[in-house]
Order: sequence, then C-alpha cells, then structure tokens
Amino acid sequence: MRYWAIPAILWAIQEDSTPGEPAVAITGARILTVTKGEIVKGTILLRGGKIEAVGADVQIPDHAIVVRAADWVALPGFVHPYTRIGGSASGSGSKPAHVAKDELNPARDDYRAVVRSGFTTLALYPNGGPLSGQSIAYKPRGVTREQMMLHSPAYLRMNMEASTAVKQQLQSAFEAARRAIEASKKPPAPAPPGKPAEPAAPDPIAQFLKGELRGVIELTQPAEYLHFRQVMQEFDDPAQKLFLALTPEFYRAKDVMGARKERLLMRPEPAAEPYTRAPVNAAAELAEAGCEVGFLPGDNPSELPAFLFRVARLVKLGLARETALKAMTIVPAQAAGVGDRVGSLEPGKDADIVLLDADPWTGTARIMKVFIDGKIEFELKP
Amino acid sequence: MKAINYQLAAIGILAVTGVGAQESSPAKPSYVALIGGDVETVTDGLRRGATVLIKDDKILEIGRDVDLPEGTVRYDVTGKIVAPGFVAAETRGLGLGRARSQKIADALDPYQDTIQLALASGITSAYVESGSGGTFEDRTEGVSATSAVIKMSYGNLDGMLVREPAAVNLSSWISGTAAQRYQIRESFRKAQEFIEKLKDHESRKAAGKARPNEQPPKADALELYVQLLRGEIAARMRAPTADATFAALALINEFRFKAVLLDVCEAWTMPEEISRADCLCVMTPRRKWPQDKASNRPSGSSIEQAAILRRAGVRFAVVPLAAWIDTGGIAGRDLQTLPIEAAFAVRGGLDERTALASITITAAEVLGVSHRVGSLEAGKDADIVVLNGDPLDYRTLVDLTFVNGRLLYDRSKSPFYDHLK
Repeated sequence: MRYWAIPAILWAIQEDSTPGEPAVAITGARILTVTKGEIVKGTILLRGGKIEAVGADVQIPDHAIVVRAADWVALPGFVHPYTRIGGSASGSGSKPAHVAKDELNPARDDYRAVVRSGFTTLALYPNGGPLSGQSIAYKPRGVTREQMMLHSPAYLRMNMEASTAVKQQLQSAFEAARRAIEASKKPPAPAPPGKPAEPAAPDPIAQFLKGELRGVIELTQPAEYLHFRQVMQEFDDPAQKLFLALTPEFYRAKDVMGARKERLLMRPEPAAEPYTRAPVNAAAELAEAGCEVGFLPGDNPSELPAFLFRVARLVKLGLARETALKAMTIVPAQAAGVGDRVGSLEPGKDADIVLLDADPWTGTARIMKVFIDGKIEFELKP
Repeated sequence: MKAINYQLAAIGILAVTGVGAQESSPAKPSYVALIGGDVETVTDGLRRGATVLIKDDKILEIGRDVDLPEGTVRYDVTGKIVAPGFVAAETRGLGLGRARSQKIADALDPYQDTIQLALASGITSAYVESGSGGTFEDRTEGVSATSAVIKMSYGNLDGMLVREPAAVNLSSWISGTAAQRYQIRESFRKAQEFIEKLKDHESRKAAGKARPNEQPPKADALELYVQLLRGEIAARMRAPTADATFAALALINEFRFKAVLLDVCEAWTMPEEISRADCLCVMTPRRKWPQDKASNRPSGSSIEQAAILRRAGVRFAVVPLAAWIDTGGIAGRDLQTLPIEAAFAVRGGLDERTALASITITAAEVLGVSHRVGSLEAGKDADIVVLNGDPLDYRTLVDLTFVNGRLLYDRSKSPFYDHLK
C-alpha cells in the first residue's frame, strides 16, 4: 500500500461527491483588487474556494449562485500579521525551533469576532524571549488544526530590546548560525559505514541569515531599530525581514528607515508631537519617506471591529488610500508568507472577500459579508 | 571571558558605525560656518563678530578672518551669542531606553522626546546613570553600577556615547554603614597594593629579572578603584552637609583620588579644606539647607556659596533643583532652565564668567570630558548653541543647537516656542 495515495483518493472522492460545485458570482460591486486597481462596477466569480475571475464583464455561468452586491464595495479579507489570538494562553516558551502550529487551538471562541471584523488570515506568533520561534499563518475557520492551517513557518519572530543582555543573545545566536552555515559549505565527513547520514533539521536562524526564512523583529522604541542595526552590522543584512513597531513613535526614525526602504508593521494610530498640539500621521510619514507600511490590528478581539475605522481615520488625516488598503491586505499577507495566496483579488487566489456597504474610508462602512475560501463565514443580519 | 569578547565586539561595531556616520560623504568633508556672532569661547574670552568654522563634527577655526571652503553651509548669526553647548553634570532618566541594561551603550535612546527638549534648552552633553528614575543612591551605588557621559545627538546613535563608565559612586562612604566604609577603605588599600605589585613586576621585567612565564598581576574586581587611584575616573560622593564633606575629604586626603562632591550646601563653611583636597563640587545655588542651631560653627545653605568657593579657587558645576526634564510641576527648576540656575549664583556674588563656566567647561571637567566639550576651541567637538541674548538672562532663548556638527534644533522650525514667533 502506498500511503501517499490515500489523500489523493480522498481528494478524488470529495471532488466526486460535489459534482460541478456551483460557482458563486458577486455582482454589481465596486471592487478594490489592491494589486490590479479598482473596478467601478464588476463581478467576482468564485469556484472551488478560489477566485476564478474578476472584472467588469465576467460571464456568469448557468447555475451560479449570485450574490447581489450593488452599491457595495468588495475588497480582500484583511490579514492580521502578528497575533496571539489562537495561541496558548500560557505562552510558547523561547526556542527558535518552536513552531506556533503546536499551540494553535481551534476550540477558542475568539474566531467569530475575528471574522466579523473582516479578518480572513492571521499569523500566530510564538511569544517569549528575544528568539521565540516561528509563526504560522492560519484561517479563522474549521474545527481541526489542519483545517485552519494555511502556511508554516511564516516567519522567525525576534523581540529586540535595547539592552546588553538581548543584544548579546541575538549576536551570539547569529554568530553560531553563521558558523553552522560556514561548516555546511565544507564537504561532509564520510558517514560511518552502515549508518546513513541523517539530514539535520534546518536551523531557523541560519535560514533567516540566508534569506530563506522571513524575520519579524518586534520593536517598542525607534532606538531599538538602531540597536538592531548595530547587532546586524557584522552580518549580511537579510532582505527578508520586517520590523514591528509597537508605538507610533517610529515616525522619528523615518529618515533612516525610509532610506533603507524598511518594511514596517505598525498600529493604525496617529501620534502627537510631545508637549505640543501638533498631530503626526506616523504611518503616512513613514510611507512617504520610503517605508512599506502594513497595519497591526491589535490582539484584543474586542478592539478588532474598530480596525477599519482606525485606518479610515488615518486616511482622513492624510494617509494615501492606496497605502491604507495595501497596509490592511497584501503587505501583512506578504509578511505572513502568504502573499501568493491571499491579500488581493486576483484569479487563482483564495476566495477571501469582504463586502462593505459603503466606501471603506467613510469611517461608517459596515461589513456585510465575509467569505473565506468561497464560503460565507459571516453575514450581517438585517 | 565571553563578556569581554562581547565588549571588544561592541567596540568594533562602534568603530564601524563611526565610519558609517560619514558614509554619505566618504571623501568630502562637510563645512558649516556660524558667521558674525559674539563668540563666547569660555576658555579664551569673548570674540565679537567672529566666525566659527566647523569641519564634520569638530571645530576647525574661530576668528575674524576665516577662509570658508567651497560648499560651506553658512548661518548668519550677527547680533547673537555663540556659546558652547551646556553640559548637565547630573541628570536622571535622560536618553536611556526602557530596559535594564548592563551597559549604557546598549540602552541609549537617541529618539527620546526629552532629548528634543534638552536641545531646545541648549544642553548638548549630560551625565547619566544606569537605570532610569529613582534616586541616585538606590540605582547606582557601588562600583558594579555604570554611568556615562552622553550627547543629546537626537536621532544618531553614533557619536552619542562620550565615555562609559564616567564615574564611581562612593556615596556609601558617607551615608552607608560602618561595614560599607570598611569595605571601601579596604578596596582602596588593596588597589594601592596592586599598583605597587604591578610596578614591581614591570620594573623586574624591564630589568630582565622576571621569571620566564610570569604573568602581570590582575586587578579583577578592583579595576575601578585602580582607575580611581590613577586619576582616570572620578568618584562621586553626595555631601550636602559639612559633616559629610569632612568625611569625604578624609578619604580623599588619605588616598589622593579625583573626587566630585555632589549637592554641596555647607561647602561655603570650609572652602580652604576643599581647595587643598583639590576636589570639584556640584551645587544648586537655590537649594536650601536648614541651619543647625545646636552647632557652634556656621551651618546651613547660603546663596553666596558659589562666590565663596570661587574666591578659594574651588571649581564647581551648577545643576538645577530637578536634574531631569520635567514636563509637569513648576517651571523654571529643571534642566530646561539650566542657565537660570547659574544666574542664581551670580545673584549670590559670583562673576558671570565663572557662572557660565559652571554649566560648560567646569561641568565637562567634573565629567572628565573637558578635552572634548565645554568650550569653543579649535579641535574640540562642534557642540554649539546660538542664543538670542545673554546666556544667563531669563529672557534668552536658544535659536540653534549643534551636536557633533549637526544642526539638531532650530527654534524657527520647532513647535516648542510657537507662542513667541
């Protein structure tokens, strides 16, 4: 018996049991595709959990289920790039090899609030320590871990702090990984006879240094960015990294971060120039300086429904709409390593769609329907 | 051993980043000129209508006829006072991040908002201690704690640290237990012995009399005491009263080390003794200390203290009542009004020149960094303030502040003094 055949057979049975699964057509909506511009009035055709077509004149097949969305706005489901929602409440320990999949808990009751707020993909990060492990991307639906999982590992999570202990810990971890990379380049010693050499498990820190695994570095103060740069000075700077800014203070570092076109995840909140009445649109300033900005919705399920409103407020304060839209969708999707699956409305991508009853930047738009993999997971009852 | 390696690595990084700071113009130096101001050099008098030429992060030349190289960025400061940036000889919670750190170099926060306010107040260098907030004693008592002199180099981690450690806090010699005092004296004695042993070792080695594999003796935990005895670092002792000052002087006279007496209030009663011990003082002219009516000697604070110490040749720095940037409470008593505190010494009879020195060059001496900051001289760091009036006048505001040759505060572009525009 060949075990690999089992999933193939199951898949075939499943396909057979739904012969000609009906397509779903969302019609008459204003479509914000994120990557391919805006369609003033168009149709999105979904089939088999994927987007089959998006456009102004998409042929609607017979027997398709039609979702009328005239006057509504369709946009990709929001992506939460950095959350503890779904994780173990007791924390995850502190080992780079730890993968957060082991703590994903399908039984938690937060997912309804998450979906209701428009989120269709989340990245669960492992917490604790400067190098706490690897995150995973999941969708807030399903009853088993496997049904929820989307991608693993999403990124290596680091927590930077401006202190001797943390800088030392990161530095020595990077040094050890670099030594391992150097050693692996040499021809391997001949294996003892009768015992085939076992391939070693990949070292996530070495993968990060080689640019094979994305890194997300949590920062609280902009100075920590400079201290991280100091630590990295001795190493080749891996391109695959994002900074996570927990405070809006980072507009202070916009020149240095913008010049290096850093990617930055931050909370959608305005800052204020201290001791004055001058407001600062931190996200807009960082984006204008050259950074790629993604938004960080927060970890409290009760604050998630206000996410869209918060971003709309920044747009009112001068953030470009294009930047705001990307910061809620494709940028965090790429951060979570699933930019090819979700984060925009394009044929072939997952059918994760949010329908709003008004322009997202009015501040009063309501989320009417949320699709995940082509299925309606939330619907606002009239 | 590992820690030492890391320190070496950190020095390496700092060296590399130091080069990186100028990567925008690797070959071409940048010149800045402050033209036509009245230049208060502090160490070399007032030069009216002079030009200060800055090359990169240092002062290149001061004078009437300075040739300006091509591409010099010019600031016309006619009618303004050009002075060295003010030096805060004691601060708390300035420029350090949120984390506890073994070394201050790893915890510096050049984006702190209070640094902006310090720059707006003309402060360019400051003494800081590990740990933020709290009192001096409970955070940095003893030789294991660390202290540093940092610059208010807003946004620039490179060039922010001037020296670390900057001093050793020996306040427990005065306020501690008998056991602590015993410990301190023993440490000094052992450090003296160590220095003798090292001398002996070196002289035998030079004479070829050392054993083949003989290693030089190690200072280990006594390292900072050895530095104290060699005059490489200063001890700081809080000595508000005459009794405390006597106690401090006894130790200083016994071991002859460089010392700074902090928070002195009754030093005016014993200026000759302090002068003979050759130690520096840090004071707040406005601080009150009650008279001891039971004693049969002069006691209590005096506004004349600064003037009396000056006559006895004692050098001192002035710090404000609250040694931090205070954004609440009563205005005019924190670091944002450092020159006004010095003006209170003038009110007590001190000459204005010494008053200005007490927040510039003498404060730099107290911190052991007077070779780099505290006065306007060719070759020194370009830490400069441009003022719109007499430095000690309460109406004077800072127009421009340069740190390491970079303009980091410009009143016309800052929101802090919008109401005066």
